[in-house]
Amino acid sequence: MATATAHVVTGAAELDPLARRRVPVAVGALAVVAVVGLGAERLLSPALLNVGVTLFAYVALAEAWNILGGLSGQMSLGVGAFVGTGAYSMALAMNHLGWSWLPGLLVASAAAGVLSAVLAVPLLRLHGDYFAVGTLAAGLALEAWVNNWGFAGGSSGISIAVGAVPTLGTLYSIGLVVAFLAVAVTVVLRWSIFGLRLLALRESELGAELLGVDVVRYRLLVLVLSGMLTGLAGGLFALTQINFVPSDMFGMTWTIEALVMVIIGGMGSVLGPVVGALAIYYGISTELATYPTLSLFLEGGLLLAIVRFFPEGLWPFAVRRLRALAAPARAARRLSGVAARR
Amino acid sequence: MTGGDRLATLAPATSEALVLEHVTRRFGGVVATDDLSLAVAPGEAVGVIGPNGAGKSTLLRLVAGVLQPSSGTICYGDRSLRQLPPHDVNRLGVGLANQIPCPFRALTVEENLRVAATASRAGRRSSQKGAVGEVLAACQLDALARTPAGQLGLLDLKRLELGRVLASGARTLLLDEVAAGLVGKELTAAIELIRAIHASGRSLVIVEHVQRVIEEVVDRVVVLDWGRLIADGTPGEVASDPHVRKIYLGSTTEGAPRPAAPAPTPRAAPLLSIDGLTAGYGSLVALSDVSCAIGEGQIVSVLGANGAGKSTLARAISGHVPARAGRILWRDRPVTTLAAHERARLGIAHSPEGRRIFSEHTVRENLLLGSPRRASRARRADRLDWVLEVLPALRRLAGRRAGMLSGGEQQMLAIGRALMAEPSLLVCDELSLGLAPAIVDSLYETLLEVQRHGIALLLIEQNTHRSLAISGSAYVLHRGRVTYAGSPDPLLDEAFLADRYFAAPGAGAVPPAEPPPGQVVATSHGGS
Ligand SMILES: Nc1ncnc2c1ncn2[C@@H]1O[C@H](COP(=O)(O)OP(=O)(O)OP(=O)(O)O)[C@@H](O)[C@H]1O
Ligand SMILES: [Mg+2]
Repeated sequence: MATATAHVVTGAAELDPLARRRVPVAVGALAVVAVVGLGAERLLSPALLNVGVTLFAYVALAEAWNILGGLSGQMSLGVGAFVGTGAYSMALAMNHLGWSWLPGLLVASAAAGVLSAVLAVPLLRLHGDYFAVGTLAAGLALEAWVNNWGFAGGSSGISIAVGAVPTLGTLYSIGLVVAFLAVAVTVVLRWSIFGLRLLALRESELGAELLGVDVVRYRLLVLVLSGMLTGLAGGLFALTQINFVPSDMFGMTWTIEALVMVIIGGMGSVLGPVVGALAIYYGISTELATYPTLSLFLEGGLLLAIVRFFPEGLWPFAVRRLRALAAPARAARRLSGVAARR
Repeated sequence: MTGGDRLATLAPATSEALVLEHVTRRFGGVVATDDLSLAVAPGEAVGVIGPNGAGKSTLLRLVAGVLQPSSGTICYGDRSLRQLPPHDVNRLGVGLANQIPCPFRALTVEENLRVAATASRAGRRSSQKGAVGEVLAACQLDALARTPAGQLGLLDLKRLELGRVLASGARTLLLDEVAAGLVGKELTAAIELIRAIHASGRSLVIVEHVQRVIEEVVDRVVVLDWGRLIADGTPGEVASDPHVRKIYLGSTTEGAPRPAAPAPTPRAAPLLSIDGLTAGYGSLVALSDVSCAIGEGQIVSVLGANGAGKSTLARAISGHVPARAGRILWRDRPVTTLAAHERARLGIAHSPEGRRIFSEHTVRENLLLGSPRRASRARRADRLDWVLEVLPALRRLAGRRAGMLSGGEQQMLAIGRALMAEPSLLVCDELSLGLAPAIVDSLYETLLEVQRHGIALLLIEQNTHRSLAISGSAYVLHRGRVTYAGSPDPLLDEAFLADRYFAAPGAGAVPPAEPPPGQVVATSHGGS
């Protein structure tokens, strides 16, 4: 994991004026993609819509982990705690308060955010591996507790009233918006001075602190932000699954999925987690759904290959190769431009 | 330095005084700072000197908020710094350049500076763009602006450390050995930069073992020993204080009198010979077509300016950088493709620049970890005794956690650990960097002692007079090529040395110096 972080390509801080407009341009482009995706809803078969919703939820999940682990270097092994909190708070709000899915999703996000802030009290004292173990412990403790929480169904789980669940088309649109939000947040973080400071404290907390970065505050902010996005993804998963037991939502699988997606796609990069979610969820889990053993093998093999050969991840690697290919062309254009001006 | 005048625009002059009163800091049983009182007037430059482990870095870290005093008060202007975390202290305008740099390795040099320029104080946003450019120029980092900091050598990292403090707009700068390891032109440039910073009205507290910096920059020097302030005066006064001379300066008179005459070079076959070695990192060629040789029990100096390829040569010998072309022979056996641990087993030990020690382990454990894998318990204990004898300063520290040692103490540990490996060749990169002059004296005596045990030494040193005085032969590198090979004596001439430091490679670079007996002569084949 350490090598993967060290290889992150940092393009954040170019001083040229174009870079200043990078965030609005990128977010604009994302919005266009999202609108096109919304328009495509009618054209897609129910099967594809189904795949789409889950894919979008995974994109949000992976980006949320990326913000925390990739940008600020806080490797969380307790993703399930936030997915579960999102899923359960949403289900409880819909069942007991009769809320519809929109306020339900907001509650999911808020509850996971509050959980992050509470867990931050002990977690922010921990660094590196200790932080990771701390998050793992928090996740396990929460799962054990919900298993015994009668009001929420205990170990037999909970179901969302079928009438309150939106149609597949609506779910697809919600998913798209959630995924858009996650990627947009990552863009804003990664390419802003805020993100640069996160990368700095990931590299050396002491160094960042000596230069005036309030390390604890920054760590808290990403922890909460990442928690809120994870909670949102959790709410979305709840809407697609309808019936679930604590181990479905609080279990370790979420952590593993998020980690694998981010590492394969590219930790710390904006689009890496999207690529990772596509490769793992769509490429392997969905396409090879009829051969579950084979897909597991492939997933493991791919992970090994990436860590061994492209430690920075698929997406940053592809970008670097493309840039290298484009560089001579760009140089030639610049030269011909100079000649023309003469 | 041209960047100097422009530096004045980075931040207004200081108007705050820094006042420490009865400050004490304990680490368990160690009193690192002992009832220390010190006042630095606005715009004053104060030098802090003292033996390794005297508490100099601790003093700076206390002011910067990295450490809190066990008792006593520290005030900046009318603000007490009590309980303020480092980022708040920085925002008040106090910046610390660490002795052991803590760069953001994945970020480029420019991004490192941008973090500094923007994080410290809001409201100065408009000037940040200019600040980064000016600091790059002033610290001679422009050429490296887009290089990830993780790829910089130690000296450039020190520059970056200073640059970041400057970019953060600090008005009181705490500089912990930022000029360590610099010589000649580069040292002069660094001194000019620090003087320019001072001239712009900022206060400086400078910890430095490089005497020129103290002599040429500061108006006042304080001396620490065992955490106590033992002298305070002008550089001249302090330097003539007999007590200070005894505990800190040692015998040092510039130009270093030779210790004992170097032991005669044994006339054995070469221990290590390198032929046409080329090595590098990515697209950068750091060494090209380098040939050299070291005899059994011989001391060899490798000199060259910052970035000449000396550390790469050391790493190529120990196997930490692969050879791209050429051959390395160890006792006539090719070792070019052997991994580092295999070479270590053959007897090549490396004490790397920037001391990679196991910081979670104690000093004793670090030393024992250095001994050969198959050594018996008794042999280990014997060796440990010998190392503690030649490096007596380590004895007192044996039970301490290595990460908590002072910079100089860590340096001694790195050397000690390399000696534990029972090597036949010890490669020392930047041996005396950050060591107090008196310690350097005794360290050089130690080296002769080590040589008497039949261990050959490859010394990479900025302190050229010192290392040449005990060497049997010497090499000068410039931009990865050998520009001089042969007897060390001609290099004692400053002008000739400077010429070799910046010689055009290839152009008849190797003088027809007489090869020391029993040694393969270095040649620089062709080249452009
Ligand atoms: N965090 C710590 N824990 C325990 N001991 C420490 C710690 N920091 C420093 N020390 C000890 O305090 C003493 C003073 O250390 P300091 O780093 O201030 O020395 P220094 O004067 O800067 O030396 P040098 O010239 O070698 O850099 C040393 O003996 C060191 O081992
Ligand atoms: Mg120190």
